[in-house]
Amino acid sequence: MTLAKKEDLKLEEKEISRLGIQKTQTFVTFYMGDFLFGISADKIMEINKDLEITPVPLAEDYILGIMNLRGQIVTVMNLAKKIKLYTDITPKINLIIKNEEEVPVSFVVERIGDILEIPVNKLERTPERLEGLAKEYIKNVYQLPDKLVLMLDVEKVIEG
Amino acid sequence: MEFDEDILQDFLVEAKETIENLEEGFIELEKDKSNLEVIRSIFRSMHSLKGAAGFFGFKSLESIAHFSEDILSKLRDGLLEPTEEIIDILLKAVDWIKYIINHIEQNKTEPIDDNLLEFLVEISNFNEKLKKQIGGKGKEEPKEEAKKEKVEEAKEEAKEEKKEEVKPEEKEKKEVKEEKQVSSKEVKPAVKDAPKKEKKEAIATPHIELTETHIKVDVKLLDQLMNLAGELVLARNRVVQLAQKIMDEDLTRSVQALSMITTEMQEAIMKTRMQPIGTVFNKFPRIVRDLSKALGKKVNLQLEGTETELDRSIIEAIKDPLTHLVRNAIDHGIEPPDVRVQVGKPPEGNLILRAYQEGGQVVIEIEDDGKGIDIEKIRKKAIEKGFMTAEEAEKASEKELLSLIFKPGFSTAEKVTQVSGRGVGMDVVKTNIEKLGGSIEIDTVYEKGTTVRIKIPLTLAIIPALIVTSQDYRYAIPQVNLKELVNIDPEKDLLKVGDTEFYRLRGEIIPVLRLSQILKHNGKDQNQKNLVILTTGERLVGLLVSKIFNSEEIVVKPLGKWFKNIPIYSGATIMGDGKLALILDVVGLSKYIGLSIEEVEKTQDIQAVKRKISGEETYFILIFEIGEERLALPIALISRLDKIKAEDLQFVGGKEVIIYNEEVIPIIRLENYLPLQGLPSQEEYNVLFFTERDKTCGILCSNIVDTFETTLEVEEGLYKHPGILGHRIIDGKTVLFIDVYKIIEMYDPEWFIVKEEDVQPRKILLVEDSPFFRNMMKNYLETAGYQVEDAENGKEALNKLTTDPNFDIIITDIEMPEMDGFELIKVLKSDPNLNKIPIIVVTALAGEDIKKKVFELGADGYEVKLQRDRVLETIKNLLSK
Repeated sequence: MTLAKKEDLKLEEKEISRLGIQKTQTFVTFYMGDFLFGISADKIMEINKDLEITPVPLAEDYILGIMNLRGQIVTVMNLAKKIKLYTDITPKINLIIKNEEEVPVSFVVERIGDILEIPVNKLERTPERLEGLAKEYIKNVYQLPDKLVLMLDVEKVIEG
Repeated sequence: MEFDEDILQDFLVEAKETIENLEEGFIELEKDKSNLEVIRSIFRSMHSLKGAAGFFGFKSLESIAHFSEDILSKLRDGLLEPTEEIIDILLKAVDWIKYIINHIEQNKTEPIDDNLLEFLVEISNFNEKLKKQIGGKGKEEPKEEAKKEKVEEAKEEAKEEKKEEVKPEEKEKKEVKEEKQVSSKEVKPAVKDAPKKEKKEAIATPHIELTETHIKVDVKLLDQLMNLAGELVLARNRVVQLAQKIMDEDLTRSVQALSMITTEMQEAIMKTRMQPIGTVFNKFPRIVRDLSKALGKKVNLQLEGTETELDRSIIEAIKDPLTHLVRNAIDHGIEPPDVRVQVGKPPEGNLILRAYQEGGQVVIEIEDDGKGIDIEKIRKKAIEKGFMTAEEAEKASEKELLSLIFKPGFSTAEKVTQVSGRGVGMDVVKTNIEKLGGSIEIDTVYEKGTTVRIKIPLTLAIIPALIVTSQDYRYAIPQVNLKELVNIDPEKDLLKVGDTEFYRLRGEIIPVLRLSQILKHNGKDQNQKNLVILTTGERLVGLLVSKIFNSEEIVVKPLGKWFKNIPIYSGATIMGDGKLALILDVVGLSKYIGLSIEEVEKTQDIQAVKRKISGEETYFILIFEIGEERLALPIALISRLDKIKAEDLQFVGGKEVIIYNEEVIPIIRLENYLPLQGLPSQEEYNVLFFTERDKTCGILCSNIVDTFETTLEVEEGLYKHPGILGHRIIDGKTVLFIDVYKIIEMYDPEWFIVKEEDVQPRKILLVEDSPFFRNMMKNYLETAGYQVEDAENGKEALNKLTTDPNFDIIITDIEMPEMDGFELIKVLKSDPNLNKIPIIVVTALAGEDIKKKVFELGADGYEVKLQRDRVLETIKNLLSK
């Protein structure tokens, strides 16, 4: 089954390149403080509001706790703290990230933004001067007319 | 013939499958006679059946399978067409195979049946006939290949015929001859043969429907079922909670039914995942054989309890650790035959792999009668490798030294052999076992052998657990770690010394942890009144929690990698209301006390003690001051610790007393009985309370210094004074270890006297290596009116007994140098002159297994040290018999 799917996908890709359509990627964007972040949509399992979080005493400060997502135990991470974004924010939305080999993890963020379809070749390198957060968690950026979208390096964030 | 029941079962399951395959195959073949694939498959099935039957010595089954295989090989090689006649006889063969398998299943032997013999003859002849037929064909089509094959086949046949026991009867022979003539003439033998076939069918082929007792199921499906069962348990828990709220009678009843069915179903599903440990054990005979051969050793492997069942995921996970331990036992444990003979052991070493269930756990033991572990060698190695300083190693107990074996980078093998020591050490074994929620320990007697004992849970997925709370959040404690629940008043019932709190549970002193403190919940939880007594398998720990809920079946879910380095959790679970609860890891929790004890010990400057006693027994001792002088005694002797104001002390009837809890308690000042400087006046004093037979008295002291866990090794001689057991330098200061019983007796000689005692003094032989206990026990035994002789170890005891066997009772310790208590009991109970004297074991080695062992050896009583009352009680009981 999976094989067949992959082949289909390849075909699609071929089709796309033959037709000269630009390859794009879908990003879910969200706000924390003044920053706008993006995460590739295929990495996101679901977006969820106000799930009850059970704190885990003695855990790192960027871990808010765990929660029950339909029988699965999800680790809830205060994303702002993890990427050392020290602005005053009130995280209230769970972005639940697929985590292949481990239990899923949720990033709590402030506000969900638009869904963006971005041509892959328009993604730029993270600028040298990027202050207010730990730069190593940003993979690359995309310039919107009025705002810079910081594309999160999800693997790095959930590295542990 | 005797087989392992399991292997036979496996064979039967496989045979039934084979039969099914065969039947399907033949049906397939009738539809499409040229389907070579099917023929090959049938051939393979028949071939493996023949092999298995041969292994078990099922002769008729083997023969039927053999002939069928032979016929099938001809079909496979295209020498014959699968005619109806051939398929018929093959199907008959399958019927007979079924019949035999059925018989084996019921009776464990092959049937003895004339019809079966007849069929054997029939199929043998048929095979013969076919061979001739091919021979005929061969002439017609002189193909090179066919010829070769034919020759080879003929050869094989000849060989096999010799082996074959079945001899056709005379009459049958004639028939065969007829048939031969016929078939050589006939092009289509099937037609001509038809009537004959019918005739035979009248006699033969039993129609047996094999009942399916086993089916194969995909492991993934089982895992999925297990997960679903877990979810169902959670859903059930939730419904149960809701029903409790609604309180409708009908609802409650149906929820109860649902609940019971769920539990039963979950248990049944769990059972599907259970496998006998034999599946792992059974691969060891081969490993042991190969390994002992390679190492030039002789090893007799014994497997016990192979039917003990464990969850398959655990079975998988223990394979490697077990293999490692078995290799170790053969490589390092069992000596080469010549060495064994020299030390008076049989040349063949014994290795026992034993499994049994104990509570919710499975215990696996790997026992060898090899050379054991040389503790001194470990001591040396520990210093060499920098695991311990020379002083530390000197004072380290056997247990501490043995635990080094599990440290990474510590191996006692002098040279790294090909067998063990390839990077995978005991540390990995330990980690793997602990990952399963299990524990591992080593018992070893130098020159005698080693036993490694592994304890693992039956299953990992669903466990019963006690739900407790701290600050409104729920935590689950696995039931296997739970000993008992006690309701206490922390202010009154806990002894706080230094940073550690203790609780006294029937004479045993247990360190207490406050859950809210460990979890660093802010603000002291005043309502913590519930003390959960937990066991790590090695020690007891008390955990103070806010509330205790029911015990529930919980589904263990793993926590993410972010929590791996927090030792106090082993997972999380979803509660009935959908909320989460963290599962507490008791071993991890106990590390929180471990730390503080180690810290205390770090500050201690304990000088090497002169006497070498077994360092196994450690106790919490309390160090206190009277003026400038330091004294100590085991905490377990104290019933309570408190502070009093100087003005509360009063003199009544010439005695100093205090009123405490509405009771008049006499006060003892130690300086009146011991050579001490004296207690300076203070505004406040500390009082150590002693309670014995409902009588309480208090000892006044200036200050409590500390507690720590230590052996009770003391130096004797310097302070020879009644009431002082010895001294020791701790933290740079001399600390006197006092004998409370003696002091109380000096204070009031009648304190312990119970009026009623008989007049005639009884003689007790007290065998105890620790001077501390020896003197203390001797003292209180004498106070109780016994005449006491003492000995420092088993050997000395035996010497005393040979000069004077007239003792009424023997009290012995277990851990002793020269000859330990086990050995002493063995010797005494096998001596016709001495085996009548009752023996009481008084030991620090608390534990059911030790208790069991001493009673097995023939001891008459068993008491734990420091329980004076009970020791005296047991003596009285045994003497009155």
